[in-house]
Amino acid sequence: MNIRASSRLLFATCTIILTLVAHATEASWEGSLEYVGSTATFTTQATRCLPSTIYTLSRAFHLRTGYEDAPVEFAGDMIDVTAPGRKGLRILIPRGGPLSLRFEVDAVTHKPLSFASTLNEALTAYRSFGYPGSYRLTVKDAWFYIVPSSARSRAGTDTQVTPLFDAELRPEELRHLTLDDALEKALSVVGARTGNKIVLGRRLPNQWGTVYFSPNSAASATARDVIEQIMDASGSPISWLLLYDPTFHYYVFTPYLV
Amino acid sequence: LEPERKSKSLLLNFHYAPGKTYSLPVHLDGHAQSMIDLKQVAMQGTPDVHGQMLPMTATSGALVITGASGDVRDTINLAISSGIYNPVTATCGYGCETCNGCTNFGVSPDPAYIGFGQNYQLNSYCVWEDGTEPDYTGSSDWGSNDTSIVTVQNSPQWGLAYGESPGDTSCSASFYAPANMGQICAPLPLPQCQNTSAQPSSSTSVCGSPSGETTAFYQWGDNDPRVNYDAAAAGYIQTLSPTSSAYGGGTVTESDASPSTDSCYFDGSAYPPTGGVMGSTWQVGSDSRWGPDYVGWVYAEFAYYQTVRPQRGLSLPCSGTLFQKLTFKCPQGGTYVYDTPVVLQSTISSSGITDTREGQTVARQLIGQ
Repeated sequence: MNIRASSRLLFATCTIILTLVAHATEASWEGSLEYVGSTATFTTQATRCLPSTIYTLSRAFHLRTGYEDAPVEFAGDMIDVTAPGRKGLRILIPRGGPLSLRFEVDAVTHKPLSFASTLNEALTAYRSFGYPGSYRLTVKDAWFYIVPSSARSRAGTDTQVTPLFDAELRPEELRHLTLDDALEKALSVVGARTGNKIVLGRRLPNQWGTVYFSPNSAASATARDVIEQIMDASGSPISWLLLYDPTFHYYVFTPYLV
Repeated sequence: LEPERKSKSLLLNFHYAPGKTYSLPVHLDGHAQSMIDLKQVAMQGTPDVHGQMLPMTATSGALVITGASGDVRDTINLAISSGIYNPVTATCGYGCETCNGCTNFGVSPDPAYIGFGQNYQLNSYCVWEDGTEPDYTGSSDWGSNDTSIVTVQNSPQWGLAYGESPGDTSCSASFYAPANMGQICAPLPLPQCQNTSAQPSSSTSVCGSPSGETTAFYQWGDNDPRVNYDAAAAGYIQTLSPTSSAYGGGTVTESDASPSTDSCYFDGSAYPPTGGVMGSTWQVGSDSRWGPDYVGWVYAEFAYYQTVRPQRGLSLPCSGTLFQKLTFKCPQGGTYVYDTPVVLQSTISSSGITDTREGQTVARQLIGQ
C-alpha cells in the first residue's frame, strides 16, 4: 500500500513540471516593435516568423498586405510537435524561429521611411536565418504582396514555386455573387485549379453578404487581383494571410483588420 | 484636413484638459483628405507620440495642428473644415478656426552697436498671433546694406555680425513664409466663435437613444447558409430597449474594444490568434431587433484545435474571447454608443462547443472532422 501511494505522488509531480515547460516555450504570434530615434527594431519569437512579421507590421502601420506561404513538403522543413508517446496523427508545423530586423523610420511619427524597403528587409532577414522557402515582394496599387518564389521539394531540392493566387479567375465565375460568396468561390476555384484545399479561417463581416461583387474587368484576373477587388469593395481596411498547414495539407486564408 | 499637392506629415494636438494634450501623428498624401474620429481614437486606446492615450472622459477642448516636428516654424498648408457635433444632445454648431502665424518680424537688438574688428550676435524673431516669439535666427537669410562697414554671416553662425570699418548701415534678416508676412492669419482681433451655441439641426433629427438591448439565442449556424452552415457558431438576435418602431432602418455596427484573447492558439498553428471583431454592420428592424450575430469559431478552426491540441499535448477546453463595442445609428444619422463592450466567448472542449454572448450561453456536442 505504501509503495503504491509513493508512486502516484511521484507521477503527479512529473506532470506538473511538464506542463510548466510546455507553457514556458509557447511563443507569442505578434512580434514587438521598439523605436530609438529614427531606427525601429522588430523582433518576433513566433515559429511562423515571416507571416508573424508581415501581420505585425501591417497592423502597426495600417498596411494592406497579402502574404502567401510556400508549400512545405520536405521533411526537413517541418517540425513534429506531437506530444511524446502519442500515437496516430502527427502534428507538424513549418520549421522556423526567431526573426529580427531593423529599419529606418520617421523619428516623430515612427512610420517607416519606405514600406517596400522595410518588407524587403524582412525577407532578407528571413533568408539570412536559413528558414525554409524564399519569398519576393510585389507592390500593386496600395497593396504589398509577399509571395513564394521557391521551396524545397519532397526530395529536398530547391524548386521554383508558382504562388497559388497566380491562378486566374474568369469574371463569369464570380458573377452575381455577394462579397462573401465571391471570396469563398475564389478560394474554392483556386483550390480546385491548383489541387489544394483552401479554407476560410475567419468569419467575414456581416455586410459582405449584402453587397454584390462586380469585377473590375471583363478579362480574367489573378486570384490575388480578384481578392484585392473584393477587399477594396468592402470598404474595410483588411489584409490577409494564406498559411499552409502540413498536418492536414491544406491552406488557411485569414483576413484581418489593419 | 486637406493639404496641398505634396504629401505632408502633421501632428494633431488635442488639448482636452488643462495641461493635458494628446498628440496624434497623421500622414496625408498629396490632395488626400482625412477625417479623425476622436471617439474611435479614444476607444481604441491608440497611444500618441508620447505614449499617452486619449481618455474616454475627454469631451471638449481645442485642436492645434502643426507640422510633424511639432515646431511652429515648420510651415504647413491646410484647408480645414470643422464642425461640432454632439452625439449626446444631437446638436450641431460651427467650429472656430484660427491660423496661428507670424505677424511681426524683427531683428534684435535694434539699433545695435558693433565694435570695430569685433563680432556681435544679431537675432531675428517673430511675434505670433498667440503672443509667443519663436527665434528665427537660424532660419533667416541675413544681409548687410554696406559690407564695407558690417558683414553678417549666414553660415555656420547665422546672424553673427562683424565690424569691418567705422560707419552706419542696416542689417537685415528675412525668411520665406509661403502665405504672407504679418497677415498670415485672420486680422486681429481674433475672430470670436459664432453660432457655437448648441442648436438642434434639422438634418439630425433623432429616433431616440436605446438604453440597452437584450440578447437571445436564435439558431446554430448549421441552419444558416450565410455562415456556411457553421455548426460551431451560435447566432443571437438582439432587441433594442426600450423597443421603438423609430429604430427601424437604423444600423448597429461593431468595432473592436479591449484586446481579444485566444487560449486555443499555439505557436506554429495555421490559424493566427483571433484579432478582434471584424466590423460587422446589421440593419435594425421596425421591431427593434437586429442580428443574427454569430459567435464562435469557424468550423475548420474548431475542428483543428479539437483534434490537434490533445495530440500536441495541450489542454482542452480552450477559449477565444472578444470584446465588441456597438454603435447604434438612427436612420437619420443620430448615433448612440453602448456604454459597455459586449463580451463574446467561444469554448472548444473535447466533446463540443460552448458559445456565449452577453452572458447568454448555449452548448452542443460536436466532434470536428
